[in-house]
Amino acid sequence: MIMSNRTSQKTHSVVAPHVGTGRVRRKQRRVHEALLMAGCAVALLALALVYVGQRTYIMTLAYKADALNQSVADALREREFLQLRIAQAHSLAHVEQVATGKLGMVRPEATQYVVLDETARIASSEPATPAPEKPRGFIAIAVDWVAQHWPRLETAEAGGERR
Amino acid sequence: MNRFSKLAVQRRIAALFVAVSVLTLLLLLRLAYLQLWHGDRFLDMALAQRFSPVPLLPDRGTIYDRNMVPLATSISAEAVYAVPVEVEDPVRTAHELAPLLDVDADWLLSRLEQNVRTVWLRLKVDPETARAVRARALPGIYITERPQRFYPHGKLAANVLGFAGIDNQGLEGLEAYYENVLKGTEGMLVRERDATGRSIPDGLERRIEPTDGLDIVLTVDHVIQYIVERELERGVLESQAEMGIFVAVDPKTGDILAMATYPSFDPNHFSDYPPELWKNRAVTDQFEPGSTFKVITGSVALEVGAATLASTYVDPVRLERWGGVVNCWRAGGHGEQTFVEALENSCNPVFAVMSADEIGPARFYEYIRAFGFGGRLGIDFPGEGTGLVPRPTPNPSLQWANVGFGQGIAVTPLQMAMAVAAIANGGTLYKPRLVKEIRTKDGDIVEARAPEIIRQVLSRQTAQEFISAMRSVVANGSGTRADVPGYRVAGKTGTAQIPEHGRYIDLNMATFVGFAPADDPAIVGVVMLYKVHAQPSWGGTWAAPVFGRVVEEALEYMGIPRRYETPEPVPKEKVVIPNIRNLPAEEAEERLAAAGLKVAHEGYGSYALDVIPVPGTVVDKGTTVLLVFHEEELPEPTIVTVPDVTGLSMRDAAFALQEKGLRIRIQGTGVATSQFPAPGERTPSGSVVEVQFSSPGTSAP
Repeated sequence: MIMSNRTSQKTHSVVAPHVGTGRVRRKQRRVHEALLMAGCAVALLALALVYVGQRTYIMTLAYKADALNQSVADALREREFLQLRIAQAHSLAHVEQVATGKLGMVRPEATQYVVLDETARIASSEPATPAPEKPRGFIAIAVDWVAQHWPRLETAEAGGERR
Repeated sequence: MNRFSKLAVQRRIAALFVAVSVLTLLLLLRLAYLQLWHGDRFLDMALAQRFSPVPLLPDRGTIYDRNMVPLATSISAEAVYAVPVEVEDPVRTAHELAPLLDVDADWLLSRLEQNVRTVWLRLKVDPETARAVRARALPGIYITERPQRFYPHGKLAANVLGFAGIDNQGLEGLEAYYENVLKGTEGMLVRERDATGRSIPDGLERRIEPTDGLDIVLTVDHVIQYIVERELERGVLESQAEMGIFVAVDPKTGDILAMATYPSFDPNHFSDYPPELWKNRAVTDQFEPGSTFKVITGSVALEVGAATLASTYVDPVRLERWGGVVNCWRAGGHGEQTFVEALENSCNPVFAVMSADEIGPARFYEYIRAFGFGGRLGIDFPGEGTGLVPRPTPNPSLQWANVGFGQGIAVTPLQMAMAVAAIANGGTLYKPRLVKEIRTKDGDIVEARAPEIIRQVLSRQTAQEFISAMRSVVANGSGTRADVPGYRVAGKTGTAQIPEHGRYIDLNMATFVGFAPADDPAIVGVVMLYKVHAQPSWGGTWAAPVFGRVVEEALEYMGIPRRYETPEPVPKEKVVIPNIRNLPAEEAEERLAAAGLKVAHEGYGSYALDVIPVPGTVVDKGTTVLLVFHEEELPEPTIVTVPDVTGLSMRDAAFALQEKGLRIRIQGTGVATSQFPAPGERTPSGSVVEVQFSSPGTSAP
């Protein structure tokens, strides 16, 4: 019994600190729980903030992308306009105006060019058996050459008479 | 005190509670009212704000010429408009905007003061102008972007293309005829947007893609079209005509190579021009063809065996038959002549007899209809005219005698061109073709249109024979001025009287129909200069040179080489009398003198009517020939001061000289840079003033 009393005393003496520890533990648990909750809340808040931040960032980027797309559309429109300007510059009325006015070009005359077939002429004028040529002076050769070529040269000149 | 104040606080709290409760209740009632009674409406409004659909406009099809050069194209361009009620200071706004938009400030002010919701100020604004207008940030002035139609070549082929209106809808010409092909189908974009109208990323989106319009490839060649328009303008101004028409056709396919009316309009600014200039008169209007119709009478006479090239006729000068009189246009007549000479001389009595007696009204009517007159040819263009062919009389009649030389019948220039093309190609009448292909934006051909034969009108042999007669008209007859060295032009001149209110007026229509080269025709053309004021108003004087200039450049452009005819050998001391018909008097005399002939004159005039003996006759060198002039009235002996036309456009210069009774001879294009005689000089009225044109701000070369 004594033992038992002792035991009980002992038990009592043990129980009392045990009871105190439990409170502390409960307190600690509560603190832990509170901390956990707070941590979760903070984490959730952080997550929410990150999410909102990301969404905001995405939105900002999307708006930027939209603005860039608009710039691309503007640039494409300007390109179309420049292509139109090119087409306008290629119009024949404009080309003729620049050619005659700015560059001082003139309309060509209807010139008749006669192609001289020199090989045929030489072949036809060559005698079958060439006679031995007498030595001739330079002036005589020049006169002959002019007599042979002058009418042809006249016909071949640019601006020859229209038919 | 403490107890009182505690009670007071409690009362105040209670009052506040009641007030808040009442307010909440009212709000709940309002909420219920809005939700239950107007919920659907506000839901629709909210959805409309967030999801307002944006139409996706299709690209209108491009119109190309036969070489894929764009003639009409659509691009997304900006347009400036105003909301007049929002404009705070219209006067200041008008003066600030006018120089930016390049419009008149008063006109702009009148637009800004209109009592309308919105008003267009300027369409088709280039990006720089749009930026400048935006930078001003004027209240009530807005810029919007929309697809708009542009015609990069300005007036080129305007009467053929027509135009599309502000809403990009075809209103005239091919734009209207092919509206369903060109316009495409509208799409739609539904996208979630925020309060500022910006797209919400990851928002809901629904997109229905638009279907672009199809492209059209014409048979028109923009180079030939340009040549035609330039020379037609020159022809109209020099002849002091009121209007001109030119149709150029490929005789082997029926393709329209060019079709022009002068004066014309700029389809980019169509509303600045009167609506009568929008018409394509070559297709829609009909005219009495006059002597050019003799090509129909003559070819039919050969076809039915009523005549041969060697048939001879005696010009009666004044033919009294069928209850009326047919006069030869030339006092004294043409004497005895062959079929070919009658065509060269354009002798009316011969063709009257041919039509009424030798062919006969019933038979001639059938052939006229077979040539395509009196009905539509089926060109793909709105408002095609039919012309007017009288019903055949059972017996020869004056009406059908007149038809033989082109009176009492009405034809469209297009009908005339296709009929002449039928002669040129060996007797086959083609359906006129204006559109060659319809294709997608990617170049896939949706529809290719082949040349379409309507019928064989003449035998090949008849056509060949008649072509030689038409060639002779140009070589030896009235068509001299259409001839082009190396290109063997064949044709027929006409000087048609113009009926108005049941009688012929004093003014004429100068015409020419022809083709070249005669032995292998590549181009057929019809020129009509309507109401020519210059004298003499002959087709050979004014219309033939227009045709000649067009054909010369067009054939060179088409790469057709010149082939010169070898002249017949002429014995020594003999000369051939050159063809000087319809040439200016000085040029005619020069040519006769150059041939070694002496000249005697008969009559007075500024243009040679004829030469006796006739052109082509071989005579001794030194022979005196008689140069005959048209019986022109001697001009009043008035001396006028030459006006200064430098800096004026062709049209304005021509009108300025015309007002003084002077004629214009045009050199170059652009604005007038120099003239001869010089401004201020005194010269007889009727004199020719030679004006040099070139581009503005530059000196003439």
